Amino acid sequence: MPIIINLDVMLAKRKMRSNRLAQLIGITEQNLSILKNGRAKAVRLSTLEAICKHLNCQPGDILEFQEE
Amino acid sequence: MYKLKKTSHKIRLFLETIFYLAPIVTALFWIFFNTLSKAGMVQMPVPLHLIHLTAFTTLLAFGISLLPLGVAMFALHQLITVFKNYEKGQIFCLENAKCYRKLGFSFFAWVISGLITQPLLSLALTLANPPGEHLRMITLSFNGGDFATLLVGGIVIIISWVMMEGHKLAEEQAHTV
Repeated sequence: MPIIINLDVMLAKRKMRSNRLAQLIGITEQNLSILKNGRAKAVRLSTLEAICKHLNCQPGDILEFQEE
Repeated sequence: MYKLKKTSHKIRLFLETIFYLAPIVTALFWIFFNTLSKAGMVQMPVPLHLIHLTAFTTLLAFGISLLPLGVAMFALHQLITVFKNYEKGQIFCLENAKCYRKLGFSFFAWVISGLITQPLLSLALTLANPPGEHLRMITLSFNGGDFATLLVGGIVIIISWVMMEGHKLAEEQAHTV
């Protein structure tokens, strides 16, 4: 998939665990795992907003476009 | 969702009962054919007074009636699978869409099986007629009821297309974070 999710990288930088982030942004760990593993087909702007808020980053730090 | 699961459970049990009773009832029908026909509870493609059933022709008629019975049981099995999935809360799964499509084709198969069964049955029922009454009849009919069945089958197939689209939307929803 051309859009790469660098959530693991940001979580490591901010020294936060996935389950903690899931709790903070109000989604299940399963859903966050779908996002982390690149299986998500769509991301709500509200979810992206919450991730950026709690990881103190920009959307570009989480989402990356790579030509196939 | 709880109401749907509860109702689906009841419907599934009802359908499973019919599924297991259907072959038994069919066998009993042919075993007690003479009694039932005297009581006026039988409708056959051949006039009843022309039917002389022997053990062989009874078995033959039962064998022939297994064709529409098989179609009916196949259709019931699809419905049972659908309601089993509804019980688990799986509404727009791929399996349900495929079951609806098979159910739709079952309606077509029902009409075709009727077109095959009717002449075979009329032949089987008059096969054992005694000498002098060798009136071997073959009947074939296609009526408004059969046309309606074909129409319903077509509609159910279209519904399966809708369910397939529903499955795609549900999949997308499940993968939306």
